Amino acid sequence: VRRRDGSDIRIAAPTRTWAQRFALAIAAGLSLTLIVIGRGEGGLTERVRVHVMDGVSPILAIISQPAAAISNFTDDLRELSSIREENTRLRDENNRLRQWETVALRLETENTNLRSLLDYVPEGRPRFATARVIARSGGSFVRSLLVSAGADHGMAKGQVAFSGEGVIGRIVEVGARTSRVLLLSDLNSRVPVLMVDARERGVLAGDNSAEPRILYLPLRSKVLAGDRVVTSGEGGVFPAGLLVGTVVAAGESGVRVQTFADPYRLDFIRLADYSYQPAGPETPAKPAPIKRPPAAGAEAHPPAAPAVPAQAAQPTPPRPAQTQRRESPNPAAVRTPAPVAGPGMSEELSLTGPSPGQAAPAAAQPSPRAAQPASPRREAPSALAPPPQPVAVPAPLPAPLLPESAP
Amino acid sequence: VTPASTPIGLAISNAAPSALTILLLFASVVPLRLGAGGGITLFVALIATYYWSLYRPDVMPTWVVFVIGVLNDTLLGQPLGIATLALVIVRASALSQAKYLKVQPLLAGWIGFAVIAPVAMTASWLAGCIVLASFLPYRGVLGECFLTVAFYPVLAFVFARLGRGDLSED
Repeated sequence: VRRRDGSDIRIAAPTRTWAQRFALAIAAGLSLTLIVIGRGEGGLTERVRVHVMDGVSPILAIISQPAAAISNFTDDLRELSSIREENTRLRDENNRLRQWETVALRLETENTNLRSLLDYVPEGRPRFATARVIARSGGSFVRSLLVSAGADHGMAKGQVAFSGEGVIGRIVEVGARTSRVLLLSDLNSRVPVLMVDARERGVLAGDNSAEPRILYLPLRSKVLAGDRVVTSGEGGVFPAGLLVGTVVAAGESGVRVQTFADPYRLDFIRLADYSYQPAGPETPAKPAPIKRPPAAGAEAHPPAAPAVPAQAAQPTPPRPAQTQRRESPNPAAVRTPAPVAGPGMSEELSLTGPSPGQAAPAAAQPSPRAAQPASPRREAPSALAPPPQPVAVPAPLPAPLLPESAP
Repeated sequence: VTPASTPIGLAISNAAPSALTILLLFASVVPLRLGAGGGITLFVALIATYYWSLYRPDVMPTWVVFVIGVLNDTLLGQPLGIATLALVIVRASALSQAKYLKVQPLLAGWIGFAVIAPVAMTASWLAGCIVLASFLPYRGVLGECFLTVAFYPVLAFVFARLGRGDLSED
């Protein structure tokens, strides 16, 4: 028995070794085959990926929730130490933004009225959806996020992904319940952009580093560090005027951009479908006088914002802005941008500027337009390409997948 | 009577390493906002493949390694086959060295991993460069490699705890 056992082992061990080697050779061969097949665009491998992602997305969704809770907890701990100064800073910022909100509302009303006079055909309004990030990939090869919304929720390839601060990328793969967002920093990402101050165009190209570079700038480029970068709208994938980032390095080694949004710190992202074009709700029902826009929202002067001049002649008592917006007869005024930076609005580029004191000189100007470029350091951000959807309201983030507006 | 002494218990304990690896794989891609390093992902599958190929090759056969590799590539959205190639290289190396490393303390396994992991990841980086037809920044590979090697003892400890019941029966 012992002998037979011994001979069994002697035969079994080499057999197992050979079987292992054979299996390894096959696995290596299959890996190389997959790599070669994967070179083709949008073929079999993409379908496999999409199906697998759809299959595992419920597991990822479950795991990502405690992970988000852990992240929130650590964030809370970190923020607790600086909560006082943060509060002061936010209060100041809020005051400033309220003034700008008023300015924006007034300009929006004026814009609407002028457009109605010109028989302006409004551009397509995007449809927004909010989705949870359920997986992210760093690594050396790809920079992407996986989100919990797919074709079932109206997602499609090419839709633009935002955070609260700006563009983060676009959808490149769509499953039934999941989509993959290719980030701006990915090697395959190419986005036509415009440098606001230098008025130069280029292409923002990811290279899997945190700071994508800008290609195809003119030879004697005037781009300097600190210049803001927005999409130029060329190529048609990204509409013009979306916030992208700030130039952090400009020199002989090239121009590098720090994107406004850190995609790896996001729980939710917004996805915009720019092909969505409902019947123009932007056009008001009846033409309104040019210099006296009727929207009540325009008069929404919070007491904290006395410096803003708009429509000061009208003796509307100050009421909470929110209430006034609801009462507004102008449908466009209801769709007021929230004071948070809306990525769809290039005009919000100018919102970085003035403190209450700095806005005061503008109050002396009779024209409402004069108040708009009140930023003292950055001139003429409003001279940008026109915003594609001046009244886009950010969908409330915590709600998973809220279509932004019904036509 | 240990749980692994029944056929079902044996099946469960044999499947546990692969299941845990897949679970850890999911966990490694879940978004966590823990400070910097957002762009680096821990290559959990590489550690698991090396560990189990070295100490218990039977509980994670090659086809499972292959499936885990495909899943890894899919989750990260990278070209299919890239991670799989690295895993196969690590498995082959671990199997060939198992005879010597297995009887050494865990530290020897770590040193072995610190040698094999960069080789496998460099091979996979080269494959990535060829597939994507461009020179990928090697810094990302270095960061990922460093993180993965540094994390090896932690996961090896977890895996050792998991495998203790089985190992004691050998």
